[in-house]
Amino acid sequence: MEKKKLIMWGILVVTGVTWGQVAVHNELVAYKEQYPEQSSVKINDITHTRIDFNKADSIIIETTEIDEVIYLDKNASNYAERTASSSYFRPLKEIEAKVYIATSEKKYKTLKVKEFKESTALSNSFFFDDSKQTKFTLSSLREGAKSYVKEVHETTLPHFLSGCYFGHYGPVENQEFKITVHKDIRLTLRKFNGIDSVTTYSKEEKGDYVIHKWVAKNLQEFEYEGSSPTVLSRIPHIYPTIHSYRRKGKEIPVLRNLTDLHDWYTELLEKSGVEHSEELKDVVDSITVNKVTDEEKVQSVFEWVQKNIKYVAYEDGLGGFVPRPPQTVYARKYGDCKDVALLQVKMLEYAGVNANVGWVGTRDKPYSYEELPAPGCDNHMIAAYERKEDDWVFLDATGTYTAYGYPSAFIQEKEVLVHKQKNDFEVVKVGIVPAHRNKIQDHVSMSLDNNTIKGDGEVSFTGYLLSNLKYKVIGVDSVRRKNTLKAYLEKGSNKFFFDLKKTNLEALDSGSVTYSFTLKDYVKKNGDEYYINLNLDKILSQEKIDKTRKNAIEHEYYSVYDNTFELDLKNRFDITYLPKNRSDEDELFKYEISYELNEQKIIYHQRIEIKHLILEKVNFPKWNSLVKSLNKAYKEVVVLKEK
Amino acid sequence: MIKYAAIIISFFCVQLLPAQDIEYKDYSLSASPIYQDSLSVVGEVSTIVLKDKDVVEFAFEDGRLYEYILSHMRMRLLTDKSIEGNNKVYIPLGPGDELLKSEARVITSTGKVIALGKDAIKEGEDEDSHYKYKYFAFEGVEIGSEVEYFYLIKRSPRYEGRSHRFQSSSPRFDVSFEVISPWSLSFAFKTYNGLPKEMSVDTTLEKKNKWVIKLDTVAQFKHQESAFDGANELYLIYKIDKNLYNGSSDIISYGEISQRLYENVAMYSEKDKKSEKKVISKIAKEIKLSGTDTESKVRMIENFLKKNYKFIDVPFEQFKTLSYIYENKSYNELGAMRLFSLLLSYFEIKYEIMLTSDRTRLPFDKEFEAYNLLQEYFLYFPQLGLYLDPDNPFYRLGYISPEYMNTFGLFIKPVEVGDFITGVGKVKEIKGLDKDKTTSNIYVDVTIDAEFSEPQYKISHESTGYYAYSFQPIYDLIKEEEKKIELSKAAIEYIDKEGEINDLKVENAGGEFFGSKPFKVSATLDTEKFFESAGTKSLFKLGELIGPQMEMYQEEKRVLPIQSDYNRSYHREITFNIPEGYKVTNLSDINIKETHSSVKDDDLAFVSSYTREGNKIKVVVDEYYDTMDLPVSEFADYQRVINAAANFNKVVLIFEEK
Repeated sequence: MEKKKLIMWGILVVTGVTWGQVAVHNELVAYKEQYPEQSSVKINDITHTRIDFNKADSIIIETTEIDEVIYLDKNASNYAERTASSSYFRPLKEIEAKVYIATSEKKYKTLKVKEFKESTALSNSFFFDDSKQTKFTLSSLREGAKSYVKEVHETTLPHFLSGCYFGHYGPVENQEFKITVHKDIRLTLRKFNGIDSVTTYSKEEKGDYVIHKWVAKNLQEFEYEGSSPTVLSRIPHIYPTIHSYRRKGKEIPVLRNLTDLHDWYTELLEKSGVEHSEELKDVVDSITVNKVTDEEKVQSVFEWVQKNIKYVAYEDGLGGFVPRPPQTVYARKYGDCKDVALLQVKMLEYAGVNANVGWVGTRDKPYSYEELPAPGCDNHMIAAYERKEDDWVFLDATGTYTAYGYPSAFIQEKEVLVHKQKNDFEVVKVGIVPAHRNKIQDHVSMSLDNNTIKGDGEVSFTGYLLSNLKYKVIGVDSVRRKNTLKAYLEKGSNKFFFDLKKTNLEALDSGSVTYSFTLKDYVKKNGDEYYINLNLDKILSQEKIDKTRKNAIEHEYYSVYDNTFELDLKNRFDITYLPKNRSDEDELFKYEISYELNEQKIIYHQRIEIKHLILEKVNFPKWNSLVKSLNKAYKEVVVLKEK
Repeated sequence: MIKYAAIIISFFCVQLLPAQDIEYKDYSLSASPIYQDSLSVVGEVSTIVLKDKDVVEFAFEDGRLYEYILSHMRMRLLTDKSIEGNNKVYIPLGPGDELLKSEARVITSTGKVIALGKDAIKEGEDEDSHYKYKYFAFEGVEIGSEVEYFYLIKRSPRYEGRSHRFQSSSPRFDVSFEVISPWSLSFAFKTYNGLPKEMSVDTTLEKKNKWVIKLDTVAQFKHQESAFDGANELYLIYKIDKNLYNGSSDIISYGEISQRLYENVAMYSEKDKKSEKKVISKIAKEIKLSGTDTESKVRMIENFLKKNYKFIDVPFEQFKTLSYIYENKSYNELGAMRLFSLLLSYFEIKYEIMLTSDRTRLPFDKEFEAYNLLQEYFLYFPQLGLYLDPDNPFYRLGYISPEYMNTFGLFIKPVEVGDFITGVGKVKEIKGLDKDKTTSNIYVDVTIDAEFSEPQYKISHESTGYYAYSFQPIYDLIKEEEKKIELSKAAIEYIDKEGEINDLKVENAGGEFFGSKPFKVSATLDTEKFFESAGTKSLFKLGELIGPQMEMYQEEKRVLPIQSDYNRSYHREITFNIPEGYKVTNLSDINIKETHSSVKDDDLAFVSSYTREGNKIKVVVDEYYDTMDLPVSEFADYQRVINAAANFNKVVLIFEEK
């Protein structure tokens, strides 16, 4: 009963009815009781999108968003500074903001925000960002206060309808999404993550308009946890797109299907203004001069662009969909993803190799092109080269250390919309790079000097494990490089004295590091016995997942860790105890630990393979039991006796 | 420097001088830059700074003083990382600042010069600082290219104390800093960490003063653990000193500012005296002060205000106005100081206002008075010898952020002159807290079964001071029970992340306990982490029960002194039993003793030992650091004590059948 009244109240505010009889104080008490663990509750989250024709008979989309919140403790003032964003795609047309504060136990007073300041914010993620911020302060926000913010955005770009997401990082009492659409405009309503189970839907026709409405009540908060897959993979949402519209008896397509999306993308691509550049052609000639096969040429162009064109991100309206021309990007020596994608295609054209640009959504965009043939499906552009029929190489030259032949890790399993030519495209799925191509393989020869272990090692890296290492150790000073590698390669305990002999990290496809070390006080001596735990690198030992974790865990890539540690007994020791070999496996990961005696050497081998990207919650017990089993194996100690 | 925005220094008044052109008004980049092939840089570097010229010129225009900043930089970029870090330039512009001129270009290793067009410059605003930026990206940069730019900004003058730094993580050549002023204004300088003691004075300019430091080379600054980078870099502080025109000297003085600060903070505003007094007496009533001794009174006031009022880091005027503060339950730094001060006066509790600087970055210099050293406000209670930070919601009486202790500061106290009360300032030492004010104590009771299969652990972790700081006050911010448990678990997971934590109990969780009661977490632990099996023997990794310890086993040559944030001590007790039929042959490995006497006797120590009663062994480990600053010559001693703790981690007891 209480709840119902509260929701009613919310609607009253929207319609502007004044109220003086609501028991202000009781209301706050009721909310605090109902939400003891919250600092604020969204009372109303209302989005109304109106899709109509303007006087020029083109489509106009107006979206009104109303956000009402009640604050339940003194942290309220944390929410005082607000920003309404406005971009080329969603220009801000109107804004209104109010704060209601209790003046007595029975009354609220309304404070209207009068000052709105527009600015162009510096962005952390983009070098240039065309979006504008309208800033305002909800002053006087305090325990018991409520805020009301209304934004109206208007656009005439029919391809950019926003989705509506049901849920928030806090509870929502009432959320509504309403679309009022002219009956000559046909919509496609795409639904994700069980929207029907959290909302009630109604449809109504009123004159020339059709009204769709979804309402959800009492939505639970969305928990944020580190390493979670994109929230879009679990939050219920609706993504409407304009299929087509009818004007003057003509059917005008917008986004009926993927073909329409590609046609429109092609239009934007053609605005690029590609011109011939003799200088660029000379570069291509010089880097491909000794390359025989097409693939060799592709690789050399990819590596040249990767090395010479720095990644600088731009967000610039529709320009965000139009690559800058290759001749400009070449002269500037920097560009964003689409710039380097088109540059590669152009350079390969000079080299006589056919390559294509392609759009792709990173793993943050959990859609296929069939599910969502709309700009919301992708956010990235790469070049693609079909080396054999249906065998594509993806060229994402924005990653400084990505090796040729590897897609960026964040597009694994995603689809690329490959642009072949006008009216011709292909959707190609990016695979998952197999574990053995992302490997750290460490081989160490050791001997025992009293209770000190001395060792020489050579470790090799491939794939994403190599590129991750490079980000940390290339271009940093030698002390930091040594310390980073020491931390990577530390064995046994931190009484690990590390000597870096040689790094060989120039190549993109594989790298290695040669080192030696002394490990002190790790081996325990007891009379003439020596105890050595050869599990010098207890990979995953601390990776038990907490029972309270709610979300799945996303790993960036499959991987293999392969360690071989040889202990040379030099005829000085007998083996009293050698632990048993152990291994365990399921579809998520696999481990093997083995001990082998080869003449005078104990050869310890450890191999761990992680073979999943998403670890679902249902698999947490399985994962934990494997970690537990692995930890058991790590407890086994070799016993030697002096001869 | 919000604190001084309201303080207008009146000594400039009207200068009846014609405006003079500034020295660098026509500055531009040299017409044909030369790419020098060989540079004498030792070792492997990512960036070389070839020029860093900074000029600050003060000049009058229409009777007003302005400041002109010229910044000219040229760098050679030798790695991808260096290009990525340096291929964009952001020119900061505060409110009212004017960018008069800028140029930027790239000089490639082949000597090609690519000038940046004017249209490449973009504008944006930083959300946090509200600074506007003009920014651009260099075009055509390759490895080995040089980027060069300069800009000239006009802005309101800042002369009350400014610092200028000369060092970075890259080697630098041709580094210079100049201050130019009209003849009538004289500046004072103080240099630190090996910069030349005196600025050279250039007398060639007509009717102007010019002070210069020019260094042909500046070595790169290398970070070392347990040392404060900022405090050890080459830097200087400058400030206006004399106005020859009207004969005033010692313009920047703590005497002058103490009065103003006292009035600003501790006195009712003339305008709103009545309403302000009303607010204070209202709040005073709400506090319902009880207790007799000063300390508990201060704690009550502090807990009340920090529980009910919120600190907002904004310069807005209203947040220091008492009626607004009272109504909105929010204050900014100055508002908090005012509210605390006026309430303390209301309750007749004696206090002083203290201001100082961050000793890790720009240590307070007791011999050089400059307002940029008055960075943060605190309250000091002379009767208690304790400090309080009004605007920090987490600290409580006795504790302030450690970078503002173990240094000097300006203390302002009221003095009555006739009917009139004013503030008088004095520079005094701010002693660091003793080792027993920051503790982390661990108690572990291990019951070992005869099979060594299911050892039982009871763990209790108690912390105080800066170790409790990252726990106790946080509970006030968390409402979800689950998150509180997660936080408490962290105190145990510090010792073991593999095991299962059960029977979790927490005591004194909440900001009000900080500084007065220890934060205590106890639990039982189901874990396999501490035992290993070696055939028929069991290995007990006793040393790991004190949690991971910092080590300094393998160090580069020590150059910097050893500096710690705070003194601290650790006490650990571990008891365990030796199961029937077993013996431990290496109990003596437990005994470790390393101490060092620096300022006081044994002010650094690690001592571990055990006692035995039947099958029960009790291990006691004491470790403490009671001196925060050690000269580089004592590094080996510091290292020895630090490593003793890390060595204890490696103690493994061997259980074998008798």
